[in-house]
Amino acid sequence: MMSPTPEQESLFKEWLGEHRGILVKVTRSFAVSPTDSADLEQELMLQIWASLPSYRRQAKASTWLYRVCLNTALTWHRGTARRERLLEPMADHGALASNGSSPAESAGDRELVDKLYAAIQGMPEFDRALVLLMLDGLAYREIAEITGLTENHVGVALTRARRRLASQMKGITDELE
Amino acid sequence: MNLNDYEGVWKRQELPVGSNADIASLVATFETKSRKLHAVVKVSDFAEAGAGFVVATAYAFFWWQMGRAGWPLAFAMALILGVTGFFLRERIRARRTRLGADAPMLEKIDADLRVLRRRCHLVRTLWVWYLGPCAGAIAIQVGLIIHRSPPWDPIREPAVFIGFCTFFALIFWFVWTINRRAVRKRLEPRIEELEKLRREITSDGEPHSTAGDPAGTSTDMTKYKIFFIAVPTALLAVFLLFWHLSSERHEADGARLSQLAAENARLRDENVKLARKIETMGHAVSLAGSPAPSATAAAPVRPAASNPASRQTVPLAGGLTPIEALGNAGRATARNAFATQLWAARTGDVALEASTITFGAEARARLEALAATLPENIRSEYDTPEKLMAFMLAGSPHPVGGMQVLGEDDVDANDVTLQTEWQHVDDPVVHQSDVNLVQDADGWKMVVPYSLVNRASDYLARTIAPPPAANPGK
Repeated sequence: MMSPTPEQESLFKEWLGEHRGILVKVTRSFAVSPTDSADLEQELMLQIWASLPSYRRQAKASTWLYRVCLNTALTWHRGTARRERLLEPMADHGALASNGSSPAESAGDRELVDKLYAAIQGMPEFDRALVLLMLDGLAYREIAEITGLTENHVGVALTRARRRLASQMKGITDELE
Repeated sequence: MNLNDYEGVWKRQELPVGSNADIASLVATFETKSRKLHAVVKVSDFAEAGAGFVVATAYAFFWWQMGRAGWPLAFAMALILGVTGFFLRERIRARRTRLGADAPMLEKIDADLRVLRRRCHLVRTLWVWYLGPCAGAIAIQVGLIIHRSPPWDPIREPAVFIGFCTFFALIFWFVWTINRRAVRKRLEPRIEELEKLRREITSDGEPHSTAGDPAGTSTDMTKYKIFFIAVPTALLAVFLLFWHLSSERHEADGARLSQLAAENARLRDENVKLARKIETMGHAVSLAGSPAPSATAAAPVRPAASNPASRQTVPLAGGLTPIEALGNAGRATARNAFATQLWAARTGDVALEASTITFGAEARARLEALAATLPENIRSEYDTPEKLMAFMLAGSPHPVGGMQVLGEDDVDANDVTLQTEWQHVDDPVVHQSDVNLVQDADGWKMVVPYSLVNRASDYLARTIAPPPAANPGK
């Protein structure tokens, strides 16, 4: 593994400022418990850091970051009890969700967002990734770059993912009601 | 609410801005993980490849210790190095195949599947590329030890041998078992997980991936077997065979050359010794000044008539008949007896010569006195005065080359005097003399005069008599 250059280190800091949301969204979508969330977020940051030397600026930073984060999350092993914890958890689940959030955020929106994360966590892993990308408003071309699918196939897969999300949301809403 | 509402809420969610990550801590973690990973890789590389080199070096050492007889260990080395090469090849291949985290998801999953399936396949074929060659190398080593060791060697004991084989069989079984367990517990579940994920991705039309499928790698596996085990081993075997035969031939040539060199040295020494001996003998001969008495005594004395020096070198005077032309005329008449005597002397026929001559009392006494002074071998060979005189006449260095009878005076019926002319082979002077011949029961014989007997006796005494003894005082 190559160590990032000072220029890449400053880029990393810049990304953590601009695109921290990607890490949070991926973490909340793939990790359930606060401990796992902290573990996964650190793993994401480590993978971004380790992959920086291979960043060629051919893709948008957000696309590249999504690619690294989703690959890491997909290959990240749950049941982290057997994983070595090198660092203490940086924040709990709740903190990640509310860290930096505005007090003006409506309770309704927050509730809906929590429901959405709950619905996403209940979906198959790849659908979670697709829904994340879809809700963030990425174009088919960008989603295709991240997933490696064709744009046509992205369209088909998104249709299926939307259907599943709707189903999941309906189920959650029904449960709450 | 519909999906558009969800998207709106999603985008409105408040997310943390800025980083609360401790870069220094992150770098430290990264460095620690990198170091750990490098350490694991190094240990793994050493354990897999380094161990092979160590074992091969040990085999090379044993081979060197055993000399040429240890050549089968080269095959064991080839097998072990083949396994090592295979390990290295697989490691390099795995590093090239593995994709980074920034690869597209589908490619990343395919690459991970390829690596995992390859590992599974390697473990399933462990006997082919790892345990088999290792067992072969051990078998070669043990076979060589048994072949070379004395009969009392413990390894020849059935119990020890069975124990040895059982020990290695258990080790191989253990390696095989833990690898199979790793496949069942770790690799296969992970492959299933990734395959499930891939099925989710491709369930809407993407073709099924055969990345790293064992069926797809079987050709690769065969190729690896050929290139990394069979081909190097075969090449090494051929090389060793030729080297072995060539070194045997060279060794035989060297041994033959060494033998020839030793023989050459021995002959050279012998030549030096003989040269010294010859030099010493030559010096002794020169000091003596004449042939050694022992040599004279040992060698039988022969008349010199056949000596080339006694050939006719001066032309005969007119009227003289060459002696060679006379032949054996017998002794029926005085003239015939005279001619036969000259021819016998000229041709060296001592017996014939002895039968044609006789003496007066004084001449006979002189010859008997001479015989008493002669070496035993001469005395025994020429045991009568006639034989001794015949020997001297036949051995004359100045034989008669030609003769003629000028006249004959008959003293009585048994006593005749012939007037003769004769010439030596090397002297132009023609001598005239009266020759007395007498007849007895055998026929006519020439009476050798005392003057001739005395002169010949003096000559013989000078020629054959032993040299004077060295003065012990000097």
